[in-house]
Amino acid sequence: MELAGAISHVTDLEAELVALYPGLARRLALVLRDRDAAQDVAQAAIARALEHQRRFRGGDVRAWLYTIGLRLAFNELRRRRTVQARHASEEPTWAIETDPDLWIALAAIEPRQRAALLLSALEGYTHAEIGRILGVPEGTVSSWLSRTKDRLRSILVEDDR
Amino acid sequence: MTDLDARLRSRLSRLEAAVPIGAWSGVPSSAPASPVRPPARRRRLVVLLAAAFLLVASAAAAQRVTYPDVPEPELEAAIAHIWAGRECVAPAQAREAVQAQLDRLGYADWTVASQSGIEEATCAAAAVLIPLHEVRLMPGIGTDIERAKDVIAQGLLDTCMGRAEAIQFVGSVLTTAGSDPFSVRADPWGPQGAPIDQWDEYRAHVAAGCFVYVGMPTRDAEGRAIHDLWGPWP
Repeated sequence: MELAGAISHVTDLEAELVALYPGLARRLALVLRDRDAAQDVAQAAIARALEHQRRFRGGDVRAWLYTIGLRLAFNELRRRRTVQARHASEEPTWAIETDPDLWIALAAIEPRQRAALLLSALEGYTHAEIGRILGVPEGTVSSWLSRTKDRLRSILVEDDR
Repeated sequence: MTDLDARLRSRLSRLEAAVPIGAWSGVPSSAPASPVRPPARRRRLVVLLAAAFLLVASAAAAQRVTYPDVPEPELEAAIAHIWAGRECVAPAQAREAVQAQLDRLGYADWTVASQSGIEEATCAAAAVLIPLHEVRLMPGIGTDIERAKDVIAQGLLDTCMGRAEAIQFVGSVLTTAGSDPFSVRADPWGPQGAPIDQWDEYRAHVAAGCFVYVGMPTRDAEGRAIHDLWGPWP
């Protein structure tokens, strides 16, 4: 029975991870500001999570996957800075057609802070949980979120007009 | 939730939902996606607390270099923090603490490896080997400069290191051992040297494109030690 339970758990975890792919890829697209790279990184994150699923100790699968995915995303951003192989690309149509002001405003926010903002606003994670995912102290997250919201305030109040 | 937060959430949700994402393509677990790999792979070695026999499994390790050479500052800081302010971290304690940090930071594809000799060691040191996705535990060298020199000599023989890696490796080991101010030189015009009974081995290593430790450091005008490396002609 224990073995059956364990197999069931692994199968469930695999299914859960794969099901999280679209959401992770979209989230990473806003962090990386590159849809294609986001898809590749999200697939790599899920592949690694599947490969090392025995390391998962229960709890929030989504947070575990985001931790892996965001780390790979930050690595990708660092790699781009290192090799400087990438030129500035044109803004994507899907972003410009949907909310150009927000898309451009997000560009001015440092990627880790952008990730913290998304985890807070869209997932509702607490500052402590975000700190664990991003590997930074809770106080740092609080400071980041306060600053990023201040920076976005001007475009948000335009909704009133 | 404030009104501003609600608006932010709404607009972010809309923007995120607009990202056109294809279906999951089922990347094989053994083949991580390519964008996280750099175009040029080179070994990068970060020794946080260097120790003896750093890269004994060099040949095998060189073949296993498959991961991107990107900085891992959070991990390095987290691993260094384990040793911060402690004179000695026992091997079992080190393994547990390193694994906990890997788990905490989401380094699911990294492993904690043990260098030979760690089982008998009282204290452990750790090296973050980025290309291998591995934190390697090794016997600690304490503050013994002579032993550090042996570690350097052996480490450079065990693994074929290029100029930059070799300089980084030597500097890290000496710094960890608490060396007085020093410099590391890998000058094509500099000295060439090897222990008499290893001359052929050293020369073959250099001929293969690797740097070796000359040993017997000299002194500069201010009395600082100069550690020379002998390597291939650029």
